[in-house]
Amino acid sequence: MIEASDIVVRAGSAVLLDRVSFEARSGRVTAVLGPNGAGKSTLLKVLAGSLAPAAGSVSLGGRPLSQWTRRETAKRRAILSQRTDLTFPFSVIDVVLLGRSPYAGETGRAKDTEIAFRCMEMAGVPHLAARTYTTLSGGEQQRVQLARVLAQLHRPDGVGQAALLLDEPTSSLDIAHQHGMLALARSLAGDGLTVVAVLHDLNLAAMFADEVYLMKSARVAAYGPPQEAIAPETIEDVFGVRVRIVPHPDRPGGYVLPIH
Amino acid sequence: MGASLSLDVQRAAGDRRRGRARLLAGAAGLFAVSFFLSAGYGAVTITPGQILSILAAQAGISLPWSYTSAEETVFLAIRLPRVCLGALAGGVLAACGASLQGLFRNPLADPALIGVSSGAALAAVACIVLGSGGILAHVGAEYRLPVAAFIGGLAAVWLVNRMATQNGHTDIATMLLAGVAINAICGAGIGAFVFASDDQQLRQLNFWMLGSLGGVTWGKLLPVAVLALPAILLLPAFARFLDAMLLGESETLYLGFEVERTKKIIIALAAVAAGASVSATGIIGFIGLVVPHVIRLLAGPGHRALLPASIMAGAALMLTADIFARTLVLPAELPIGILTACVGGPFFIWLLVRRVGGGGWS
Repeated sequence: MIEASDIVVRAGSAVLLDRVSFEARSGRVTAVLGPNGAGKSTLLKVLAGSLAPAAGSVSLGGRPLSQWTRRETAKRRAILSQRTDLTFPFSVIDVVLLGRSPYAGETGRAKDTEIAFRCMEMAGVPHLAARTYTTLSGGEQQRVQLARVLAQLHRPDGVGQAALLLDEPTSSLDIAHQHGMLALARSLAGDGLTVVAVLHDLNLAAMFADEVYLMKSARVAAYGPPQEAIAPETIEDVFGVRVRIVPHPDRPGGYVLPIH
Repeated sequence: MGASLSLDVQRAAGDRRRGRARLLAGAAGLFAVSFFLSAGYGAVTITPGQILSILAAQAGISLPWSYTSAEETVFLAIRLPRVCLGALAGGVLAACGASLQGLFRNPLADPALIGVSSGAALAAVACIVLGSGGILAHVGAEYRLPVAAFIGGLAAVWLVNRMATQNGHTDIATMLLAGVAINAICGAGIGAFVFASDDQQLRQLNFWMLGSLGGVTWGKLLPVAVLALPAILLLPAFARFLDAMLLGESETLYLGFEVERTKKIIIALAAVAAGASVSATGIIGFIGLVVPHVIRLLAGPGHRALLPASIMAGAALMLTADIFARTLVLPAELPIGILTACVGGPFFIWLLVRRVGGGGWS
C-alpha cells in the first residue's frame, strides 16, 4: 500500500534519512522502532507527503505520491501526530468533523456527523462529544484526534484502500488506553487498513505489529517479523542497551527485559 | 450504533444550525439598526421610512414616506457614502482580523500585525510632511494621501511576507516576528516625521492616525469598495481551511488542503482590503481585534459563522462609533479611533484577565 525506495533526506549538512526503503502492506501493522534521532518521524513525514525527499520515491496504492492531488491523498492516508493543540476552544465533535474536510461537498453534513459519532465510539470518546477540546487531558485529546483521523479515512469502499500513520500514538496514554489504541489499529488492519506506527515500546511492538523496522542513524538496521527482528544482538546494536528476551508467560513470543 | 444515538446526533446538528442562524440573524439585525441610525441621525434627521423611500426612488419605485429635496441631498451626498465607507471599513477590519487570527493561530492578531497599518501610516505621514513629489504629483490632490497610504501598506506587507518566505514556504511564526519588526521600524519613521512636522501638519497627522470617516464622497468611496469587497465576499469561503488551521499547519496539510497557496491568497486579500480601508479612513484600531473575539465568545471558533457574523458586527460597531464621533463634540468631529479604542481597550483587558483566570484560549 505504501512503498518508499531509496529515500534520502538532508537538513543542511546532516543526513536525516540515508537511502531508506520501506514497505507497509494492506492489512498489516508495521512498527517503526529506534532511538531518538534515528529518523523515524522524518520517515513518517516523507510517507505522509509533508516532507519531500532529496532523492527516492514514495508511492501510495501503487501510484507515486506526486501524482495524487492533496485531497485524494487525504482520503487515503491520515496521520495521528504525537500531540495536537488547538488555538481556540473547539468542541470535540467539531474537531472530529474536521476529519471530514477532504469530503467537503461529497457527503452531507448529517452523514458526516453520523460518521464522526461512529468514529468517536470506536476511539472510546462518544461521551466527550459536547466537551471543549482544550479542557481535555492529553490522553483524551489524543483519543479525540484518533477519532478525527478515523473519520478522515471513513470511505464508502471500506478501509482497504487507506493507510493510517501513527507517530508515537501511545506516549500520552495510560497502559489501558495504549493497549486499547493498538488493539483498535490491529482490528482495523483486520479489515484491510494499512497501519504504520512509530513506537518506543519494544514489547508493544512485539505484541501488536506484524512487521517491524528498526532504525539507527538514518538507516534501516533490521526489519522483519517482530520475533526475528527484535533479537538481543540487534537491540544492543540499535539502542546500545543489553537485553534478554524471556518467554512471555501467557502468549507465544518473547518479552524484552533490559539487563544492566 | 443505536437509533437513540443517531437521534441525538441529528438533534445536536439541528441545535448547532439553529444557533448559527440566530447569531447571523442577530448580527444582521444589529447592522440594519446601526445603518438606519447612522444614516438618519444628525443635524437633519431622516427617518427609516424616508431612507427607504429615497433608496426606492433611485430604483424608480415610489414608497409612501415623503421627504424634502434637502433631506434627499443630505442622505445621498453626505450620509450614504459615509455609511457605506463605515460599513465597508468595519466589515473589512473584522473579516481580516478573524481570518488572520485563524491563520496565525494567534488570538492577538489583527490587520496591523502584518504591517499594513504602520506601513500605510508611515507613507501617509511622509506624504503630509514632505508633500507629494514623484508619481504622487500626477494624482489628484484629494487622492494623494490615500494612494500613498495604500502603497505604503502593501509595501510593508510585501516586506513582511518576503522575510517570512523561503523556498515557497511562508513561515507563520517568522511572519509574526517580521511584522513586529516592521511595525517598530515604521513607528520610528513616524516618530521622526512627527518631530520634523509643523503645527498644521501635526494636526492633520494626528487626525489621520486616529481615523475618521469624514469627507468621503462617492468618488473616494469607489476605489475603496473595489479593493475591499473581494475580501468581504471571498474570505468567508475559506472557513473550512481556517477551521483546519486551528489544528496546526501540518494537520491542515494532512487533511488535504493546499496550505501554501491558500495562505498566500488570504494574506493578499487581507492586505489589499485592509490597505484600502486604512488609506481611506486612517488607522481605526481594535475593531479587527475585538469583534472576532466577541463573536467567538457567543458562537464558538468555527469560521463558518465567525466570518459573516464578524463582518456584520464590525460594520455595526463602526457605524455606531461614527454616530458618536460626529455628534459628541459638535460642531467639531471626534476621531473615530478614540471611540473604538475606548470600547476596545477595556474589553481587551477583560479578555486578558479572563485568560489569566484560566478560561482562556489554550
